[in-house]
Order: sequence, then structure tokens, then C-alpha cells
Amino acid sequence: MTKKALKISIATTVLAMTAACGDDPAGGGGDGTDTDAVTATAADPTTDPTEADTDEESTGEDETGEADETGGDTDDPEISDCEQATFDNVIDEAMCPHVQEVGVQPEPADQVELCRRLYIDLLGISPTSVDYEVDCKNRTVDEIVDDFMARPEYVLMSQRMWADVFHMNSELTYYRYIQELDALVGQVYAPNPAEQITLDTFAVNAVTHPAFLGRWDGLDLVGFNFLSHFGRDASGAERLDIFPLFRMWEERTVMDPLQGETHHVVLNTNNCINSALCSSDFWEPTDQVVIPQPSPGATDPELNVIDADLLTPQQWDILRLPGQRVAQSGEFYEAYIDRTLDRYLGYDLGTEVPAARQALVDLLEANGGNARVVDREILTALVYTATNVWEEDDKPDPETWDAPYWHGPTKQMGAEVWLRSTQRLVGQVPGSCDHRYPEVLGTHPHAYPTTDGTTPDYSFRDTARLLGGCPDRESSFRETRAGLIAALTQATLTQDLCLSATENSPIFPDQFIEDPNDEDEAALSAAANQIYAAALIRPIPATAADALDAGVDGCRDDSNCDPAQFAEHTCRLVIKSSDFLFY
Amino acid sequence: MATFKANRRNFLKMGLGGAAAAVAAPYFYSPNRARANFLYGDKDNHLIVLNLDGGARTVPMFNANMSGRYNPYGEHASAAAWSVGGVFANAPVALDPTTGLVGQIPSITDIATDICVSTTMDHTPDAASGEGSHTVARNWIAAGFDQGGPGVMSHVMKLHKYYGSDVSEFGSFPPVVIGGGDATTPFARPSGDSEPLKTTSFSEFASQSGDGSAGEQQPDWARAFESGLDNHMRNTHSARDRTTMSRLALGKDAVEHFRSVFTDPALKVAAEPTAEKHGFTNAQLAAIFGTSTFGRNAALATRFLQEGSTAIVIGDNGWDTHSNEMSAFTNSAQMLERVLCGYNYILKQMPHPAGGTYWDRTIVCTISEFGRDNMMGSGYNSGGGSDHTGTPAMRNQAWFMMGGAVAGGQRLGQTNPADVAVMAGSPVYSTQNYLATWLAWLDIDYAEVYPGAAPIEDFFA
Repeated sequence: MTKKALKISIATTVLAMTAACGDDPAGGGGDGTDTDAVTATAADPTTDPTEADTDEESTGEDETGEADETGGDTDDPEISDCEQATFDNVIDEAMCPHVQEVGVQPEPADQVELCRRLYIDLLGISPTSVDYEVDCKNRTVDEIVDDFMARPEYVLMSQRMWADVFHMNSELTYYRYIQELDALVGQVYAPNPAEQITLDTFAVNAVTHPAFLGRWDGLDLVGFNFLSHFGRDASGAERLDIFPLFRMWEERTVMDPLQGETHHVVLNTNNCINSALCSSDFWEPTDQVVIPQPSPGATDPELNVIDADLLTPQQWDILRLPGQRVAQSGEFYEAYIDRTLDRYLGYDLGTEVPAARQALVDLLEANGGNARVVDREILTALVYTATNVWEEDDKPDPETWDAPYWHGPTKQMGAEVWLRSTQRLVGQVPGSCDHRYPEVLGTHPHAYPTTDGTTPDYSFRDTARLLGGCPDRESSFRETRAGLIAALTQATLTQDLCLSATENSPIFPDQFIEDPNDEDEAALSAAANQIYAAALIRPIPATAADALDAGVDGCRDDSNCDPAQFAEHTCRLVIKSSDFLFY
Repeated sequence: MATFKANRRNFLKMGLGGAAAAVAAPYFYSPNRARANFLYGDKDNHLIVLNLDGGARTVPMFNANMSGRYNPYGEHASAAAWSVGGVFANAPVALDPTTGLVGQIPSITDIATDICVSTTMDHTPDAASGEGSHTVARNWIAAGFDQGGPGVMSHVMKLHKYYGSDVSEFGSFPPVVIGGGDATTPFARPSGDSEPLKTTSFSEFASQSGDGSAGEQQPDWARAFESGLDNHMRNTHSARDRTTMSRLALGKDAVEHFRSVFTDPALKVAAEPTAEKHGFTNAQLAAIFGTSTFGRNAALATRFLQEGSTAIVIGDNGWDTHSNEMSAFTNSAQMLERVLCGYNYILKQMPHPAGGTYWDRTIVCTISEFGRDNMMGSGYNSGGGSDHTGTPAMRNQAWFMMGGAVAGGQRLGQTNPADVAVMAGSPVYSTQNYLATWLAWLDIDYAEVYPGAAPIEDFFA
């Protein structure tokens, strides 16, 4: 077996991470105008990780007897193994044997890359140069994360994620139930500790929340509970075994003054007239949810039927048994961790490195089920803060690809983020859709822009749907589109977006304002860089100079191309380029 | 955190306890003959898949001679060996002469002898219980594996002789997946940088053509500029990330290459009723398929078929009928009937560039994640619907194929009317066999995707 020296430099990496927090973009001047700003490159592992050997006899020399390229060997004081290193972050600790110990040293992302990532993930929009200067420049990762997690946008992004999980849709479910469940999600992520609830409390309430009970029928109440809280569907046997705990829930059609005809969730105690009908031994042999039949006509809309709004706290204590069991299950925390890792990393780290998942489960338990602690830990871990620049040979077989956690995450902007970001760049007011209500029925409250103070303006929603956003959660679900239809949609939308830009738009090039007839090479290059920097904070990377030349030279050779057309088309191509879409 | 801690494995074990008592049905796999023996494949063939999203109760539609518990809708008499469900309207649709169309759309019993039904389709014939999980079942139908993986339409995109890595050399319009449901989009899960055209519904093309309202095309220099930026991004990222970025780049190339298709008003099947292509106006397509979402999507699929698309999946929602099934199921079944009969009508009238008609070269078929069970003697569960718990009534689905090449009127497999269990001696066909049949029909080396499976030759005449 070929022995290769281990190159572990945890201390160096941690120092680099810390230093990067205060760095200017890519070590540049920090003014966002350095054309060489994109210089951060991933450390190219000098050993083949598949051949790495943890044998203590490793000498730090390769087969030729020469020291490895990092110049280290296992006796070097800078090189230590993961067990000897200390970590501030439980994910960094869990990842060490899978990253540094196999000879990989992820480079921290520069400040611009990190700012875009955090802005998009936590605030739902791509930052402008002004945002960068105000919110990111000269701040540490911790400072940025803490600031962003204290903002309402972070809570909103979290609520949107759960609205997708719960398939919120007021065409099918009473709007007020949805409003209440959404508010409950908001409490999970609330910045103010006094307003927070734990994940356990959330699950106890959510599993039998009327918004959930009103959304699903029959055995699907079990199946979608599993999907929502365990990240997997229930098997047929599990559905049958657990369904008795949901058997008494029904719906009744009522008229709501704001929504019109809708459905109230009710408890039909007639369904549990025999307690065995509402008992399950799936979790515990004694699980049962039996509510004594109320006196006829006292509070119930019909004989022995109680509206969910009229249930007493004591009755809810009984009825929330399924939620209590979900919260107690080991799968619940694991599923939350997996969902959150995917939210921020875009891949399934929990499966790739179960130790990382377990470390976060332990952290969650140690913090009493505080979801914000998990989010913050991920957002400050090297798997998140490292640069996603990672040059790797073409490898047709995915089995041979480098591990995704050897570098920072690369994700594609979601539809709403892209649309809002581009609208702002061309000077429009960013639109929005109400994540709770794909469609507003009647005049119930909502957060859509309005045309007359009350009527929802769905134009943003309808456009976002073309790219997989603002889903109705009945016939369409959120997706990030990358293929033909995405290209077609973006080609269509960007023309109208860029044509709407004015001299006051952030994306409008100063160079063009100075002299709209200047078609010389320097003027076009400056205009292109200004447009690019408006969208991506910094100018076109020097390593993409050929692309810029192709555009500038092509325009100068094209008799139909004038500076105005050049600016418009550069606007179009930049906001649908991979540079802008992937972050 | 409370003390109860069931780990994932224990949890599964407990959950599956109830299934342990189930008895595996006898089955016969379709023999894995040498690929060269499949005589029906051709690169000029086409495939239209109607995916019934949510888990359709196929027994009352296509295997109707079951007891009332499993089919409370009765059956229609026909000349076919398979039993036509009473849930269907079974009425021809007269065509308005002002549309320029002649005759009528035939009824389901009129075309029953053009349809071959397998009544014993099962994702996992050798398992103790059927697969009742939506997620896993969707993996089976879309990818052919319980763990998922690339969707079968992405395999078509990657392996079909008309496609490749260079869009400019495509010999035909790409495969298409129409529908946004959770059971339909997995058919388009990418295979590397290959993925089909994916659209949620016909309405998406009402507002876009790639050109914007000003209709201004991207000049060559701008294309080169953009392509250069995209290439730079790909070259500075990992092989994994590069694959996603390449899909976007391929999409951009395809928009350019198929610009004439996307800018054609004929693609706006609802908004442009007078737009005509290949002999049919959009108004005529509406008369043939109806104006339901399913019907409109079938019209859009027909447009893509006319452009040469080799394979199209159309998803139809609303089949997960846990409650109040009677009206919902009847409505869904009759929309399916309309689309099915519409295809029977139109494909026979569409000349194919390679000779004959599209009827000769197209298979229209169905698939769904599972059937339905947990019914009482009334034919429904306590909520007036049906569930999916893994019993024979759920696992033994009745899927059809229709087209000039299929063994029309035949029924493959046989189930017991009392419980929909497979009858002794009856063959059972796996979903992998079914998907292999699709690939083989398109002259794709199915063994590259499903090494252990073989096409179901019994479907063919």
C-alpha cells in the first residue's frame, strides 16, 4: 500500500478562518473594484485522499522519500491529528477526520463570497455593493450571522421552508389555522429568547395542529406527519398502526366572514366510542387518545362533536399525544438536522458524514431543542464558510467526485431570490408572494402586494412560478430549475427586466451615463465591469477576461451594436449567468 | 428531551411489524432475454406516459371484474379480454363540424381492443408486502429503484440515439415531463448534466418564448460573452457543481437550438386557438382532448410529439383519494378516458416523418405509484375513500399500453375478484420490467439502466 503523509493543519485552518472574517474581499482593497479580486482558490490536495493512510508510521514522505508538498510530516509541531486539535464548532470537529485528516484544507471564502451566501440564505436576496459595505465589510462571520439571524427576514425564510413542508394552502385549509401554525414556526426562530419555543414544543403542537389536520385525510395524516417530522414517508404498516391516534379528527363546512366557505376541524368523539378504536401500541402499549363525550348540545356543533376552537387545554393535553411521541423519537432531531444541513449546504451531509449529524443532534439536546443554535453552528462551520471555488478534473463517474464537504457549498438561487434580486438591480421594487397562502380566498388577511389595498397582486407569484417558486403546493411544489425551461424563462424575463432599467437603476453603468456614444474598448469594458459589479459586488474576474473580450470585441465588430444595446444585453447575460445564479 | 429514543432502525422494525404476516404472491419475472430479441424497438418510436399522481385506483378502471369491495363502479361490456370499468363515461364525443374535424372521439369500449392491460404490475413482486410509501413508490415509478436516482426521462435524454451532449447535434426535440406534482417531477431527476424539458403545465408557455415582450434575440457576441462567463464558473468549481452548471448551459443551448419551437404560437395551446401546426389547430386539439388541465397538457404533449420528442410524461394530479372518492375519482377517471380516447383518435391521423402514422410508432401508457386498498364492503374506507397499506388490492396495479404495435384487447395476468390477489399461475410483472419496456421501445440499451430486467414482450402484438 502506498503510504502518503498526512497533512493535517487544523490550527492553521482555524487561524485562516478567523483571519478571513475580517479580511477584505479576496485580500483585495475591499472596495469591490479590484479586477483581481477573485483570487481565492481551493487548496489542491497534494495527496490522493483515497490513498491516505492514518498509519502512525507515516513519515511524511512519499514513495520517493521526498517530503510532501506542504513540507510537513507527522512530527511537525504544526501538524496534529484531529483528536489533539481543539474546536469551537462541533461540525468542524466531526468533519476533521473526513477533511483535514485526509489531506484536504478548505480555504475560507473571501468576504464577498461569504456575504452573498449569508445574504441569500438568511435574508432571501442577493446583496448589492451598498449592502456589502454596510452589512459585511470588516465584520467577522459570527458578527454577520448574529446580525442576520436577528432580522425578521431570517424568520421569514424559515417560515417559508416550513410552509413548504406543511403544504400550506388556504384553498384546502382554513386560513386562520395556517396563520396560527405559521406563527408557531416563527416562534421557533424568534430572535427574542422570551418569544422562542423549542423544537419539541413545536412538534407537540404541530402534529395535531388544525392546519395539519385540515390539510390531510385518513391515513395520510400519519404519512405526512412522518414526512414533515421524520423526513420520510410512513410505511403502510406504520400508517395503519398509528392512524387510531388520529381517528377522531374530522372537518365540517362553515362560512367564514373573510374566507367564505371553508372547513373547520372538529373532534368527533363518536369515533372513539370504543377506546380500542383510538389506541395504538406503535410507540407505547398504552397510547390512546380518548376524550369523554361531552354533554349533547353544550359546546358541540352536533351531537358529541367538538370544534377544535372549543377544546379545553386538558383535552388538548390528551389529543397531543402523537406530537409528544414524535418529539420523543430519535428520528425527529435527526430529520431536523438533515433538513437544516440541506437548507444551508445544498447536499446531504448527514448521510455523507453521520458523525456531523450526530454532533448536531447532541448540540440540539444539550440546548434543549433550540433550533437557532443548530442554524448558527452550521452557518459558522467551515463546511459552510469555506470557498466553493474548487478546481477538479472532469470525472464522468460521480463515484469518483471529490467530496462536497472538501469545499464550501455551491447552491443555485431559488426563484424568488433571483427574481427579487434582479428586480432590485433594475430599479424595481422587489415583489413577493405570501408563503402561507398560494391563493387568497375571499378577503382573508395576506401579505401580497395589493392593487387597491386589499386585492392581492399575483404578478410576482405568477412569474416566480415559471421558475419553480411560490408553489401552490397542490399541483406544483418548490423546485430549483436548472435546465431548458429555466433557461427559456430567464431568457424571456431578463429582456423585460433589463429594458426597464433606467439611469437610476443600480445596474445601469456609470460609464454609459458619462458618454452614451463611447464605443471604444475601454469604455465598453468599463461598462461591462460596472454592470457585473452591480450584481456581484466585484468586477469580472481576471480569469474570465476571455469572456469579456469576446463580448467587447464582438460588439465592436457588430454594426448593430451600440453602447446602449451593449449595456442592455450585458445586463441580461449577467443576471442569468452562472456567476450570478450560483453562490 | 424525553427519554424515549427509538433509533431509525428500531423505528422501521416496529413499523414493519404489521407487514410481516403478509404472504408474498407467486410471480414470474419477464425473462431477461438478449436485447437483440426485442423486435419492436426503433429510434423513431415515441412514448407518451400518463402518470396518475397520488396513487390511482386502477383496478376499477382497467381490471373491473372484481368484487364490489374493490370495484364499486361496475363494468362496461366490451370485446376486449380486459374488463372496462363502469367508472368511465363510455360515450363517444361528437366533434363540432365547425372545428374542421370529422367523426367523433370514440368511446372507451370502442377502443378497448386497441389497449392491452397488465393487471399484475407490482413494484416489488418478491416482497412480503406492497410498497405503500408515496416517496418510495415514486422512486420506483420514476427511476425504477426504491432509492430513486435519475428519472427515466433523463435516461432517455442521455442514452437515446437522437440526443447527446451537444445540443446542436440533437436529431430530435428533447424528452418532456409535463406536470409539477411530487410524483411527476422525479421522472425528470437529472442524470449527470442530462435532463428533459420539464414544465409544470401548458400555461407556462403562454407567457414566454425566450425572447421577452420586445422579441429581441440575443446577439452572437452576447451569447459568446455569457458562455464565456458560464465556462469560467464551471472551470473553477468541483465536478459535482459543474454538472449542475452544465445543465443550465445545455438549457441555454437548447433554447437557441429550438427557438423556432418556442416562438411558435402553436405552443400556446389555450391562448392561441387558431394557431396551427402539422395539420391541427389548437382549437381542434381542445376539441379532441377537452379543456381540462389534463386535456390541455395532452394538447401540449401533442405539439412536442409533432416536433419529434421521443418521450413525454404527462402528470395528472388528484388521484390520492383518501376521502370523498366517488366524485373525485369519477371525474379523474373520465378525464383520463377523454385523453386516452383523444390520443386514439388523433395519432391515427398524424403522418409520421419516417412513414406510416404516429399510431404505428407511439405507445400511450399509464403508470401510478400504487393502487388503493383498505376498503370496506361498501367499496370505500370509513371516509368514503381508499388508502394504500400494501395489500394485494394496492400492489397489483392495472396498467395499460395502447398503440399500433401493442397486443390490443389482451389482458396480461389475472387477479382474484375476491381480494385482487394474483391467481395461481398468473405472471406478475415488475415496474423495472415496465420501464425497461419503455427504453427498449425507444431502441435504448435498457440493460445499461436496468441490468437485471427485460422488456415485457407480452404487451406487443
